[in-house]
Amino acid sequence: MPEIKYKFIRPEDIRRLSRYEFGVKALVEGYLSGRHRSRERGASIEFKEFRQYAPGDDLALVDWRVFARTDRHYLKTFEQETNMECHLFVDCSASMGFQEEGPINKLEYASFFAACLAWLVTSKNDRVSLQLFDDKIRQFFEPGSTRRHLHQILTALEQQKAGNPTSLAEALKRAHPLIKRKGTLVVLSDFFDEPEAIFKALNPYLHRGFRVHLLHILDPSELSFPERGLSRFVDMETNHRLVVHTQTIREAWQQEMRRHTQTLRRLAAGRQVDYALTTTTESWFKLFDRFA
Amino acid sequence: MQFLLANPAWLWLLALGAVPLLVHLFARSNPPRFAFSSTAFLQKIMKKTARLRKPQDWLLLLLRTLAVLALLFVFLQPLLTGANSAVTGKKTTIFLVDRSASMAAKDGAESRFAEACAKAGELLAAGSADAANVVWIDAEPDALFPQPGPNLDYLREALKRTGVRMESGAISGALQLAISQLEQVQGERRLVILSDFQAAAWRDTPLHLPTGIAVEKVRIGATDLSNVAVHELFATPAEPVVGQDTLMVCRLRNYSGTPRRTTLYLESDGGRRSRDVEMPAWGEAELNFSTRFSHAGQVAFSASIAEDAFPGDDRRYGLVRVRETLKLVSVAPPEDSLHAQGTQVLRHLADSLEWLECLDLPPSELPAPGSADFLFLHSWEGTQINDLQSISRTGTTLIVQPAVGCSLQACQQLMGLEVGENAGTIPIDTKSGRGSGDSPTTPAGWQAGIAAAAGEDAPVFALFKSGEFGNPAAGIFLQRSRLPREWPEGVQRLIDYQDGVPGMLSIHEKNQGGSIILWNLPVAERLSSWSAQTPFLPFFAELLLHHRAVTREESTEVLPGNTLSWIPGEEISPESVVLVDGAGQPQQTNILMTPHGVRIDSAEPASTGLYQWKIGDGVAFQQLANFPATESDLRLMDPLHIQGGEVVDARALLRRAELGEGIPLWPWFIAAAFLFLLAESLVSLWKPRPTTTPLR
Repeated sequence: MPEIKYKFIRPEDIRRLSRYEFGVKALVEGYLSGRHRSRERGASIEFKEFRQYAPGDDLALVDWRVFARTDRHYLKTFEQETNMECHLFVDCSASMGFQEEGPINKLEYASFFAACLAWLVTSKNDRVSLQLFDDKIRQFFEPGSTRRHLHQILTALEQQKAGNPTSLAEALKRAHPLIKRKGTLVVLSDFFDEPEAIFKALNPYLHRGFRVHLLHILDPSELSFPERGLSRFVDMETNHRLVVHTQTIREAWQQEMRRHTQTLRRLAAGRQVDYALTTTTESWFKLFDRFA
Repeated sequence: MQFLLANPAWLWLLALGAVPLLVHLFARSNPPRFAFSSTAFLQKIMKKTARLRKPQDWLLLLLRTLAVLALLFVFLQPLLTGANSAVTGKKTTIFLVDRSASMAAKDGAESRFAEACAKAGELLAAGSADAANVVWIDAEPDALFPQPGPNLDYLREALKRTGVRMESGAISGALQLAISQLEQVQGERRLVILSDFQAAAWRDTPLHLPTGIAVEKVRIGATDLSNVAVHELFATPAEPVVGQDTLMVCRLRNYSGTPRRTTLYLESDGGRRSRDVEMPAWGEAELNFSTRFSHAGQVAFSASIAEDAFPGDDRRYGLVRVRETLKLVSVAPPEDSLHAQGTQVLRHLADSLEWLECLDLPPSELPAPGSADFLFLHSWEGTQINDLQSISRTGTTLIVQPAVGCSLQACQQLMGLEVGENAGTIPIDTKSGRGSGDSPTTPAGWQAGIAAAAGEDAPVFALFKSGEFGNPAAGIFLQRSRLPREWPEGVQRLIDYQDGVPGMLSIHEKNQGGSIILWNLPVAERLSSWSAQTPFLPFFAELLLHHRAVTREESTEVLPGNTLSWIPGEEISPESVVLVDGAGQPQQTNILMTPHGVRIDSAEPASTGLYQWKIGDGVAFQQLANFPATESDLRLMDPLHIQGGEVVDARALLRRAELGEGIPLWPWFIAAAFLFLLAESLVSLWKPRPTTTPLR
């Protein structure tokens, strides 16, 4: 592999990710099937690329026309249509730009995870798609597994800036017709939205057999609501202002957040959706550990 | 009580009381901005907790508003005033202060009068009146100002300086004076009576007050005080002659519920005598001291007891005018009357008695009233009855010998008796004087003796009781008036003829006038041998001495508080007369011209004691002023029983004065503001307990 210089995936991340080969077994469906390429030809096979022959490769896959031209043995590889597609939904709304106690904001955190996951998926020749959304779909990258596709994804992640209000439910609804094959749906968001609306939007995916993973990303201060006295809170998405004395509502905030996360967890459990809560101070690799 | 604002011009400030509300509603603090991921959750939380915070917010708003209003009220100078304080116009108060003798009593360290003055001073200082005056209740009520005035300081000073007087109080006069002054002013009028409300003085004194004058009665002195007083002192006879037995009568009274024992001291004519006396509770005792005066003139005497808690009435003075002689005026009968010799007999009689002076007057001429001690009318024809009664009323004892033709009616009229039937001419009985029949040598006539009704114990016959002087009516009488044998009660029979015909009757004139003696015993030698008898002289002397008018020397006594006066006579220069008190201190006098001549008055009213009008070193005349006896009974009455007015405690009166002036409330409002702010701080620290949201 050529040297990678991306913001959201570093050499140490790659080295670490290589250990997660098995770790994403649950995350990426059909991992094993990804390791084992389908030999079947058909309309569903797509030429992928030429690869130099290595001892042990199937001679049937050698492209003799290329040999005739170059006098070298190259294998023609094909993308096999399997049930293994990883669809990443990254929330790029304004609230994802919040950062207080964490080293990075939530969008960066999500981008790091999304980049790593995309690299992991594509490194196994599986396909990954990316949707960047806020109140609408900003960008949609169809499922792909090529390096060029990965490059596009990583570049898009680097270019994103948090802004605009959130509407995850709307984004999921709009994205549904765009995703043709079922697979794994990973939603990276701070989920400041009505849980019921979110899960209502997920229902079509669940009905189609998608495996859904909800990764709830928050800054630690959004959970603890630290003391900051009388402050004028300005909503990053709506610019709505609210003067609050944090001392008076801190406990209520914590309780409300607990209630919100518990609601998400409950609804997720009821639909066999995976739900994980993390903060920007925790390593995103823990998420991979979760599924090890 | 009323709530007033002394500074209503600042009432608009109360609009600032809306500031806390406006601040609460609109003011927004400028806290630091903080970009946050989502305020939706915050809003949700705020909505939930608002239900808990709102009551706290309301309470905070209320406390802040109240604190602001309380502070604003301070500028308005709120006052708490009495109910009538809103009455516009001047407030005039007259303090009627009892200055009578009973107010000298001490309930504690200070006298009642001092207490009354102190309370009046406090009320004046409280500033409840715009104009005020003080009217004294004493013998001659007067006021410090002729009308109520604003110079309250002067009134306060006068109250401090003035002392109580040993006088009785003319309550009605003082009330009238105060009311007359109040009726002259407009606005709020108040009369404050400060008195001990002595029962003896106030019992029958209702307060008849015109409408529009509020009356408040403040009782001074809480308890009835025990007292023993020298109640009366006099001499009888009031004008003894030199050497005559005179009785000094002294009466004491115990004004307490327990029997008392004390010692009475009598001082007279340079001497001093004492006697112990016991008195029952609320009782009286009389002590008599017998004396004889050795020289003529005004003699002062006094009686005193040991000093008690109320010493003003522990001494009493008396004056007795000792006469050198008594004056007998003998009005001669007509020259042809058989009683013509009577005047000679009386003249001889007077010559034999040192103390008797006899003056003859022609027939039908009468002396000036009060100029004689005795008036003997020989052969009275029943005329000039009114004149004779006038003379009798002035203290002259009339001795009337009816003449021939005098009617019984005239006698009865003169004696003040009811005229009965058959009151025509009194028949005259006459005897020849020669013996008859069996006793040719015994002169014929009537004999007389002490009337059975009088008895030998009658004072006039005391000298004859021993029998030494024989029959006071010894002798033979050849002529008499046939007076009726029956006489009404009140007529004393002294001498009767042996056949029961009255020989001498007497009746005492009312109103301390002289006696009237109906003389039916001829003294002329042609008509009786009585005057030649030995008992005649002593009997006549006793008769005169025991039938003098029972008068007291009242013309020399004045009531405390009244002016001492003396008309010295034309021969005395008024400028040479000096009035001195019992301590020998000269007193100021005024010389006045009156229809009766020059009169010298004391400039100041008399207080208790003996006063002498002196010319040079000699005492020309004496007068005295005794403690008013009515003031000795120190029992008090509840002013509630006095009709009219309202009884008020002195403290309550001061409180009303303060209310009248208005009690400033601003300190209370400042305190209230601080309390509200303190409460606001405590409430703002209170954190409502957030409710636990149930898990779905």
